[in-house]
Amino acid sequence: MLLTEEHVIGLAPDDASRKAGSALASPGKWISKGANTDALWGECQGSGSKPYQTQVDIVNVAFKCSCPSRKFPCKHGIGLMLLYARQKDTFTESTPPAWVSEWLSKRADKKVEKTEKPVDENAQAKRLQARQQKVADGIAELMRWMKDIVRNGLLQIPEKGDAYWENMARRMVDAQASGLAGMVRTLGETNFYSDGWQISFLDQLLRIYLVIQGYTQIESLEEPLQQELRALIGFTQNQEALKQQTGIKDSWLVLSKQTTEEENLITERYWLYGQQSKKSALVLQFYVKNQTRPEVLISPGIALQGELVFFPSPIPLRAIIKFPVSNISLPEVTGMEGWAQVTDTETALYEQMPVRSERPYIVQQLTPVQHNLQWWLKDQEERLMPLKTGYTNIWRLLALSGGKPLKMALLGKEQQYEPLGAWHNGSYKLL
Amino acid sequence: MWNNIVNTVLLGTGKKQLRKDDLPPALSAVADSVLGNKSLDVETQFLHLASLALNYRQSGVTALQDSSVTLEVAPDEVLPYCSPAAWQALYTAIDMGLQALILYWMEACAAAQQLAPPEFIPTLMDMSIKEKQWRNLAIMVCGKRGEWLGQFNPAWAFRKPETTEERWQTGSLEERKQVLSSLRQDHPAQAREWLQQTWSQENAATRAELLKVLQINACEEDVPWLETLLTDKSAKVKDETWSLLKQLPTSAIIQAYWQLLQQSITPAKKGLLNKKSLDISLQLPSDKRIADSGIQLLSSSKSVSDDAFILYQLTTYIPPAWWENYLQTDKKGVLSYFNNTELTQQFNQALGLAAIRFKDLEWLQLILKESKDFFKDALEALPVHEQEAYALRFFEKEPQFMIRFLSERDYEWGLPITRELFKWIAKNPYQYNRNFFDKQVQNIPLLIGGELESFTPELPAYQATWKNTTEHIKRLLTCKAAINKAFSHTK
Repeated sequence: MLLTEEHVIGLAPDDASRKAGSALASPGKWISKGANTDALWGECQGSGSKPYQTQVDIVNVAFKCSCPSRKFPCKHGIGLMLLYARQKDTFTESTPPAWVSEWLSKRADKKVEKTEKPVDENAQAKRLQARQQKVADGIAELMRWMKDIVRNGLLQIPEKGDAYWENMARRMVDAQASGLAGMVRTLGETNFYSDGWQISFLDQLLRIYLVIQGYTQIESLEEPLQQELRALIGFTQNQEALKQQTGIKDSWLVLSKQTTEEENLITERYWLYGQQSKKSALVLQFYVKNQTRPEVLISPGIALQGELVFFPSPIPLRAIIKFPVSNISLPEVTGMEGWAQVTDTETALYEQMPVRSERPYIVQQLTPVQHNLQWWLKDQEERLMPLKTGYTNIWRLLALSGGKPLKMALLGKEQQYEPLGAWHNGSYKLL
Repeated sequence: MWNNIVNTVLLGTGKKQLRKDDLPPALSAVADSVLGNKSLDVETQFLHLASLALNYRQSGVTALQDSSVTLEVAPDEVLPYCSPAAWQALYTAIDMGLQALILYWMEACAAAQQLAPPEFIPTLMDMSIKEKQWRNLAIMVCGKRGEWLGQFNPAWAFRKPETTEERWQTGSLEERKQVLSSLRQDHPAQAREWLQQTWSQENAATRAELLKVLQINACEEDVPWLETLLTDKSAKVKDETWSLLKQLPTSAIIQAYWQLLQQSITPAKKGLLNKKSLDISLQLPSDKRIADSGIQLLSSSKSVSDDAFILYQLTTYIPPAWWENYLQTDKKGVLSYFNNTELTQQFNQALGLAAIRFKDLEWLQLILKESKDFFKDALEALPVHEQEAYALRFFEKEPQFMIRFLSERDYEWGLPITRELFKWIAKNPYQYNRNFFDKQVQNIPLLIGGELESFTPELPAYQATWKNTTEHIKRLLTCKAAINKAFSHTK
């Protein structure tokens, strides 16, 4: 497992953990510690009578500590990994103690258990049929609501209270169409105080309409598109079944990690890019703050050598990691030549799926430039694309560039791109 | 196209309907088909066509082609960038939010004539917006890239240091005081001349503030001009002038003091053993200037007579060496004269204060050696290597004064005084928190890191606090050591 100080610090859930973890990254804090090809472990004397047992599954990138902290990884985990990153030589013990080997074997058993669980296909089909009916009823109601909006016009829309949006979103939740509920909430969250809110509002309204239209004609569509539409409506994909499928083996660059929190639900979005396959991927991880823990530890700015299984879609993006994977140094990648290639790719993607989210690209030789009081990225062919409104890391990007072109990892669609990182003097710098 | 669609939905299809002409020609055929389908209501027709137009718009995005938009490339750096180890040390200092260490890093980097990695420039510049005194350092370590970035971010376009003369002419009072202080250090006469040139344009408060600066390297060449200032209307200016003149032996006031002292004190030998002592007969009424210059004529203590009090004050303004000549004896002989005379037995302190005032190190060392009293002002007057030894001697008596004095130093403390300081702080953990150590990290010697546990206070209630403080200090020292190591080869 490749662990550098920067990457370990990137794993810390918050500032407090990072600082507390740094304080524990000294050999004196650890009563025992060891490492082998499978795991990393150590015992740290805390405030309790017994030392805390901290362990990291290197192969499946998982973590456990006996301390009462609900943070993931906790300060002991950060401290142990930092110490390993700094002073690998001091981890002389290679035979894991019982508490480590038991944990590793339990994890292995759990995997087998999961795969062996029998499935009642009849019951499953009945449940699905009932749900489809609920969804169809919900969609009919949503269509009436949307047509009312279109008939009455948007002028009064900003005056609608929260309940107007929330009631319809809840109706969609009742109809077991959580995807549509989310899209309705996004519609209600339009910034009605910003100039041009009508455009973004209409865009979102039409996206909902397109999903509904696609779903109502789903039988006539190709299987991947069916799956994509079902996911947009809110049908979940069985991830265990997905893991059984063959994925794409590659060296996956972790271009960026974005964390958002809503009502204590933490969403981590990891943007990946395959060195050989040149495929972009989005790995999502959800957990409830202070209650559950995320499954995997991925640090942005490094690469994973392993297999990714994509969710079925005509334009696959969301994926899950098929363990085991190993962390490796960032491999060399070549990006797209310029904006023409990006926009051609975007056109091809829209051709297959008009409702889609932003995706990452790696583009060679981009220079930040100022034009019309706005920052843009200029390619080698002197084509310009504006930076996403409100992009906050422009100064760091500009400092790295110094007016010279850089290879950049970008996230965006249409005419809104946000740099995630840039290659500078041969190393990838997160932005 | 999109405006037509948005305008339609703004009003609502109940009032305005989408027409074929509202759409681009490429969508005309589809528009005919949708608008001609009478089974669809107008809302559905709108949603259908607008959805098509949305994808038409999304699919047709191209980048703007404009060769006229350029950006001037940042000039090449003259100095080299710092090492990866220094990168890591700065990363840690920033990550820990330790401003004192970031400043320490910048000082080390500037001293090594190296540059900060470009990705840290925004952080260093942003910090320098708040901390003005960092700006010159930030300009140095951010190199030409930092200067270049200042073109785009006006908040970072820190003014390059102006010439000393410009700052003196146009700066704020604080800046002008800094300029004058630094000039006075190296060129005392020139500093005085600059002040003389602008004197007539300064107001009374500014005059008083700037006069204070002349305390640095005050010299006898100042005397003629200073004596003319005694007629200034401002009491503040007069006070500052007296304060200066009273430390210049050639000034008329010191001469007047000395004359009065010589008239009042004469050497004598008394008793069977011809013991050296002094005959005291205060020659009053004295020169009016003596009272004007701030000498108090009445003692505030019943145990000290008015005569003794006046003589004591006058003695503090006379260079101690003058007594050697007057009494025809050496330093110890002078002390014997004073100690053997009832009225002047307590004058060691006055001689000590005079030694401090006139920076007579030999006299000061003798007095400090002989005296059991603590001379607070002596610390500043002593050379650096003697400061700590003297501070150590009186640390227990004046711990908080010593800590304040030490925290204002710009050098790394020695281990013995650091031990005393940490021992005291460990026993008084709520008076000095982490913030104190953050600010003093430059002064704290690295070697103390191994001894921190030995200062654990006996009181159990304080032990946990000291343990936490210890961990924090160790983190600071680890980062400081990394900075030292990263720049060590260039030192």
